[in-house]
Amino acid sequence: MIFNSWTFGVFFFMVYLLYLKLEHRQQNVLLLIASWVFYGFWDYRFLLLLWISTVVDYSVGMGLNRTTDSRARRALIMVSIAVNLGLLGFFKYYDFFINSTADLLSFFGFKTSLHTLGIIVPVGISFYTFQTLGYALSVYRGEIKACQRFLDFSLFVSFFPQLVAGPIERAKHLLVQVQTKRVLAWDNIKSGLWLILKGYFLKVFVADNLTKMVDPVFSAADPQGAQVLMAVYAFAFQIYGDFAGYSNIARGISRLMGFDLMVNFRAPYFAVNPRDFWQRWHISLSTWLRDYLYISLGGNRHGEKRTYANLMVTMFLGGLWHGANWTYVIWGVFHGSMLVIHRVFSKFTGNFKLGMPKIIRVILYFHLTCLGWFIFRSKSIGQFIHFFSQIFSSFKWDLDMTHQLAVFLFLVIPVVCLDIVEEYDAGPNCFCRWQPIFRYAVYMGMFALIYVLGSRGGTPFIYFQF
Amino acid sequence: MIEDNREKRLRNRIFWTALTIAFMTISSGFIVENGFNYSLLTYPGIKFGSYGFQLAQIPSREQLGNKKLVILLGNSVYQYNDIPKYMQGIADELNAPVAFMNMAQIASTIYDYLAQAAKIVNWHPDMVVICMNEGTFSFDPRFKTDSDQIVFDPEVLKNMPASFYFRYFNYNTAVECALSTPIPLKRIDPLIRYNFRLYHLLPEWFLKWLSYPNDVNSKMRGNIKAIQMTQLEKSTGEEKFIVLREVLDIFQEHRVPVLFIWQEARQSGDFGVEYETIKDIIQSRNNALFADLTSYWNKETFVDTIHPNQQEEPRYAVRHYLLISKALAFFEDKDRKKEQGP
Repeated sequence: MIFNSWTFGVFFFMVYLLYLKLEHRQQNVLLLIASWVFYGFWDYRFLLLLWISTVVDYSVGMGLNRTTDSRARRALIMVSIAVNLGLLGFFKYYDFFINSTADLLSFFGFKTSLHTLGIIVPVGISFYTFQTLGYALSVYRGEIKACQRFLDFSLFVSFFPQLVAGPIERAKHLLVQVQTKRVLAWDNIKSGLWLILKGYFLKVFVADNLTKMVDPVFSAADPQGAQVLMAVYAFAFQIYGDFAGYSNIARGISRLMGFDLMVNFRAPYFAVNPRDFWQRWHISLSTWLRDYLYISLGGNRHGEKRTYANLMVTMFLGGLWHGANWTYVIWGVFHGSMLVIHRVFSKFTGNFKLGMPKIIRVILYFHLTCLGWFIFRSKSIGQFIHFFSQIFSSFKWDLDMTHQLAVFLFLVIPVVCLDIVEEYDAGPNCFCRWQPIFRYAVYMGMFALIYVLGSRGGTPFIYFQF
Repeated sequence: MIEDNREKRLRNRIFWTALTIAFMTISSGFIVENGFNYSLLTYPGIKFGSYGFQLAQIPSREQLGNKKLVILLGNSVYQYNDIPKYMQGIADELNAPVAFMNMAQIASTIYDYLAQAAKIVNWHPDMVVICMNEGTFSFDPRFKTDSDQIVFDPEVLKNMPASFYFRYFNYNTAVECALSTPIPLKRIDPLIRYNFRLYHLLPEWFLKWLSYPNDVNSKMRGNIKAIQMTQLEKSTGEEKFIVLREVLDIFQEHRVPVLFIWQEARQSGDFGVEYETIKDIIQSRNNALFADLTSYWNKETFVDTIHPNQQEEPRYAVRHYLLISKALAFFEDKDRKKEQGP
């Protein structure tokens, strides 16, 4: 069941009507059942993994609450790490590692008979395992108290708006909202509806229409250089529209129910350097990696060289988190390198502005981001190298490309405008404060574009595969 | 306390607003769908666009008078090549009491025919004609028309084999299809969007890159191809025979005679075994006839593997008309003999 399907529309509508009529505790029961139904729509067998993750981390949390013995506590947290990363590793990476090992061995001339299992990756597993693991780590560090009610904890893990593609919530943020009575307010309803509209606009109108410029090129054997270039730029906005669209819808429908999920995107293509980018793009993951991985590795507390190594390791694993493919790993390493380079240069140049106006730095960094997306979207490193060389070796600009460019601008300019307003006005909900006439004109325009030119058929969100 | 009351009031307001919006969405869906309905009797001829099988309204027996009702199920050849129009012309010229109702839809498969059969038997036709070729049995995707959007309509559901639903739907695809029944806006959505007629405002190259229903057929015919919204996975093997048997069962149960015409189409060599099995299954039923017209296909008068060119169309229609007349006479004769007794 995906957000851009009729099934979800009807499902949410029914859940919401009931939700409005229930009291706090009953609401939680309703949301838990609804979340399981929502997840079971993909494959009811996946529910078992969700339950394992829930039971293990609930028990670990309770265990950590009961003991002060550091060895016992360490053993408990190791159980949580082993189970969560074990599930993730097996379902997501087993086949990848087997294939990579076989390739490596055959490269050195060894014959192997390693078999892959053809495992289907359960949707959202990377998101909820990180969320539950984050909870266990927070309890272990003493940042929060363990949750006593199993029902509340289950809902924290399974909460359907953010279950399959985030934002990856922190216990101290979401769990508290599950445990306490939620109050509906008219302002939240308004901003929730705005987020939903914006989310569908980004997904159904922008991202899904850009797919037509991206997918055929990356499926072709020998595309023209100009087509490749266009596809890369289109992909940059496709993945943004797709993922930010999902996050916005998730945040919007949560708000309608009185929940407040964390902001996951903040005009990411206005970033001027890699550090800035990761404070704007997939914020829930980048902060998770920072808090639970980078800082655990020592962060910047052990000298410059160790800091660089920690950055590289964090981004390497961040890349691998996206999926079992070397392109994701290289993408992570690419961003890690950029963070290191930025840190090194910042030491010498102060703030790495190099005397350039902001607009130039934004444009420059956007192109570096696109280079990263190029690696990310390629099916293999071989394809990336081949396509990259095509840009320089067979670049032809014809009428069809001009047409594509016009459509590209038609789709992308509204996104840039929305981001400009959010960047320079006052954050993600600034539209709600506009004069009604402008506000409703924007709403109607967006709604019309979604309805008339938006895609149909429930194209899955890109991040579901991660 | 005051805060609590205020929140309660807000909740109530949202609850009733949401219910009102839902009610308006559903009822407006039925109203709009009614607006899009069209009678199969209107049109110079009987051709109708593929505005969706669901929207075609069959005339009542009173409207038909003493004419025999022959419903044509088929693919693009019947839908677009004016064959039914020519056939009706011949019937009218000969004063033959036959009314052809063209319900053919582009690229129909045996799955579409199953859902369509379950719907049309409610109208008690005197005979149903089903056109087939190899493409009828290629399930990629299974449903190629809007038929998957009608399989949960009560009038279709009651005639469909229950096993079909269990075999082909999981609860995700079932819900997605079933929602068209209470929310008709879902299945007429492509038509509503198409009626914005953006192709008058924007150039073709622009719309080509966007998700707007603007295929060539739409522009040429002034209508739009029905779009199936739940594409079930491709399936192969014995399944085609199972579904064919289910189609035949529906007709048999409702005592509706059916004529299967293997169209004038280029045959590929590797369909031989399946073809023979299909033929045997059809011929094993006493209310079904099978006719093979493949030998009439030739590359001079057909533009591709199945579509006749303009000069072939009248000949094609005559051939089909004669075949249908013979089949009608055959079934009438059979009925008469049955009534007279041994």
